[in-house]
Amino acid sequence: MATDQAGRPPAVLEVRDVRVTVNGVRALGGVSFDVPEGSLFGLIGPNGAGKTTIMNVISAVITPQQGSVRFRGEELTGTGTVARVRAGILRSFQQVRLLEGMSVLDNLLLGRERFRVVGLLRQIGGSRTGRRQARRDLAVVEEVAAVLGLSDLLHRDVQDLPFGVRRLVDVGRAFAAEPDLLLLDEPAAGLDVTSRRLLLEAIKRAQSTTGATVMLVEHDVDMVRRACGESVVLSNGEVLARGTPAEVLADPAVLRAYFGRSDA
Amino acid sequence: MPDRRSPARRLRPVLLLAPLVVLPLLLDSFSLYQATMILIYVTAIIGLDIVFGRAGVLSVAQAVFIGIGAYTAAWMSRTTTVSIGVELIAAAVIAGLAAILVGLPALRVSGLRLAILTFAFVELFQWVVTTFASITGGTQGLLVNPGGFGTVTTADPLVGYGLAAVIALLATWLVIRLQRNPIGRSMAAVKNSNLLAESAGVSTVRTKLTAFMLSGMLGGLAGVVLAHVSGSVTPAGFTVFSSLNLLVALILGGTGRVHGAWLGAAYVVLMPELFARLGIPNAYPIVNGAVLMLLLVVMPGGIAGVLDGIRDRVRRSGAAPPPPLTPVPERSSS
Repeated sequence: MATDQAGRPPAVLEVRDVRVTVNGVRALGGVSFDVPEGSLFGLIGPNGAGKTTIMNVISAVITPQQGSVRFRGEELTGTGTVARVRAGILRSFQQVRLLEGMSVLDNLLLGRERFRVVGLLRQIGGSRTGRRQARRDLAVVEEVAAVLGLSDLLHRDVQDLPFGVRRLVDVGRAFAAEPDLLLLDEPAAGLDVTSRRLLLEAIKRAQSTTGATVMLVEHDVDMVRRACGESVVLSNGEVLARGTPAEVLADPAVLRAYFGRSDA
Repeated sequence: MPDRRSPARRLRPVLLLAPLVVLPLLLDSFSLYQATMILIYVTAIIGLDIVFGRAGVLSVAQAVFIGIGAYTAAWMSRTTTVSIGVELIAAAVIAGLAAILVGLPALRVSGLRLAILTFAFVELFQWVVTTFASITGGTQGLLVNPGGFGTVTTADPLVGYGLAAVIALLATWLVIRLQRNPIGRSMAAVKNSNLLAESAGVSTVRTKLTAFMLSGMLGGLAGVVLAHVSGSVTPAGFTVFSSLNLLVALILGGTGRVHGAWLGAAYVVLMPELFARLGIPNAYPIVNGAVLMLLLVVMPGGIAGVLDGIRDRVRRSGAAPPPPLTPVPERSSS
């Protein structure tokens, strides 16, 4: 992989001076950071720090009043969510969103939607291109399922699955899209300690298999410490610190924001 | 490629189709007419199911598409000598395009507000039909000349039945194809939420308009057969109440399920007749309303949902419960 002068991989995502105000309340007050390519990047901060807001800006769910987002050097401002997904930026949500009443396989296959090129009549009637695409989709989905440990559950209805496995399916759908950049919004929320560890291992395994850049948004500092190489800490809509997890967690400003003291 | 399905699965289509073939030979003319009406309803309800049951867009305009199909067939049967196949193609295209127009507001609004907007299209259709009486026959409607293929015409009730059966089966095949197909998954995603759909790369605009177009095309096809089987078309057959009747049939039968449309169609055609035979025809609307309320509260999946629930319970009775998150064993690299 190419590196910059400092020996770091080039930034796949550049966020510059993003400002968002919602109903007169400042959610982001000029946030800037770079996400290095191929990294597992952490975005941490206490509740209300603006983590989900910046995710929403990157995925075009909300439009910032000011600032820019560049992906692989291309300005994204003005493009919609679907265009960004097709460019390779995928995301998950804090709340698990699945196709209820459908199988794990169908849910993972939904992730392949960004590659759909075959038209309506060919989809319904069947065509050589459509069948080739379907075979490719199935192969990718089966590989992702194997990496995440979902192979035996592919034909189960997602409604019948425990919460932790539903989380994994949600993450799996995003990995099935072969993302260049995957934004995971508190993927371990609501899980017990063991399930959090297993989910994190699954994410790391899938990330190393696919080579995707993953931005992990968490308020669980310990999870980011164990997973991420580089992190940014947000607080009150501003970047408080950046660096390795060890560096940012030693930062007095971060300790004050998280624990209310600087010597924790 | 060899057929790997079990013999029972391979036989299933034959077992399901056999009654459709045998039934008309056993029925009297009135029962044959009712069976034909059920099949027409099946097509129209599947169309509604695509837009409402699968894409989650509430529309009360389905009667408009049936009306467009019916009037297209009536007008063509009176002014041209083309076969009914041409009428079907013309009706599907015109109704499909009209449905895209009806669907455009769905890109901006949803839920009840959209339902009201689609209701406006029903009223617009009524206005057009009654205003341009020189073409549509106004409130009196139009008589429909029998159509068909050469000497085989819809003047023979068996031909009408056969046509309705073929189109209902085509609609069923279409919705089965959609079910496990990227388009069906896109519709399911849009039904879940626009946010989920767009975050997976699904174009909500294209998906909703596709759902409306398919819905309209099936409505149009149903309308052509309806016109020929009935022998006449009048605007009274395509009001908002006709649409609501289809919606009730779909909800009773079960939305988003292939057999839901068949069960719903059979219910709305046969139940009024059953009450008439019992000598209490006026009781039907009351009982129907009570059944609908009961189903919405107790069985939101409709009759098909209840049947599917029983089937799933039987299937799951011996199956192990799904496991929680478990460590994934290391895979050997090959």
